[in-house]
Amino acid sequence: MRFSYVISDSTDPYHNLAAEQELMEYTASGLAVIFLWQNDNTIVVGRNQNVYSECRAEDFVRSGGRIARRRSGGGAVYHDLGNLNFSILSKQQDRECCSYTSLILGVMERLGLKADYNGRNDILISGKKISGNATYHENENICQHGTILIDTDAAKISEYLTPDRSKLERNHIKSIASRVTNLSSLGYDITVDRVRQAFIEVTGADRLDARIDKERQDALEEFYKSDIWIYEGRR
Amino acid sequence: MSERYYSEAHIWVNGEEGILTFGITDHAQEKLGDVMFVNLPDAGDTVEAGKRFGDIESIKTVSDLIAPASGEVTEVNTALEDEPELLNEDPYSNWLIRIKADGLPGGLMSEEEYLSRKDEL
Repeated sequence: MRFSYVISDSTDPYHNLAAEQELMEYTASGLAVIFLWQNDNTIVVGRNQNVYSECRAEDFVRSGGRIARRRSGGGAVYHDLGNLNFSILSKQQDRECCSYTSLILGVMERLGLKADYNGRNDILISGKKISGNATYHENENICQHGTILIDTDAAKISEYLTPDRSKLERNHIKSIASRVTNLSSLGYDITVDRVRQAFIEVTGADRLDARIDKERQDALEEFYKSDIWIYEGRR
Repeated sequence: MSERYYSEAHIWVNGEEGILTFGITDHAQEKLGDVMFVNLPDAGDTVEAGKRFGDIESIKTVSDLIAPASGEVTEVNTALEDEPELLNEDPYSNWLIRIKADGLPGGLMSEEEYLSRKDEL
């Protein structure tokens, strides 16, 4: 399996989600693309969640936050510059060769951290979740993406996300409150930049040498930015 | 009940008197794992052969549903809104949508052919 990587130059969630989807076009059989990106002050809900059940949306937006909806499933998360997102984009048949679990465990090992996989899709360090993940399929491609909490503002998570409300509402995917923690609060002196480097080292990835199709990227960005997608989940 | 046909995108179709019914195959529900949510079009919408007409969120992933035929949606199985797990229990009696269409499109497989090819699709 060969890998290419792209590091986003934006912290805008709509730009990044669009770029992630567009980068799927650059995968090939035996070639996966690793996309490393950060969203500043953003709540991202899952494909089938109700924004208003998941967070105090109006307060969050008023305070300067942004709300986005991703294509993959699962629960709501809070992103800021203390969190690193990574996407493993590949052909479906290559999925096993570049699985989320093995890659993230490899990255943790590279960083000198002892991480465990709990068999339920969570990566734990000292019994606490430091990374979450989800996937979606698009034609013959698959996007496996996840988060790594390095130094995220934990107060914001509890201030704006509302898993208790999520639990009560009907007809949407419910978020489950997790015992999450930051690598920094576990006493590790690890920077976002160091984690990014570890991804590149572990995969032996080259920088992706491709020109992004600006028109398609812009169209995807408009889609991710649209209220009908964010608030109604309609495509 | 007329015979079921299968698409390469793991959708089954059967048709009676100008109405086609779509559903997901048993192989599809098995691969998806526990189905958590289904997004379907509304009655009156049109679907186009080869294009997505909805998506399914399972415990593992989100996958698009690809229409095996074109036509106007006449009926949607709204029971799946509250009980998406019906697709795991019995994907053949728990259909997704019905559309108005003139007969079956070409390129579909018989049950025998689908079962022999499903793993390579």
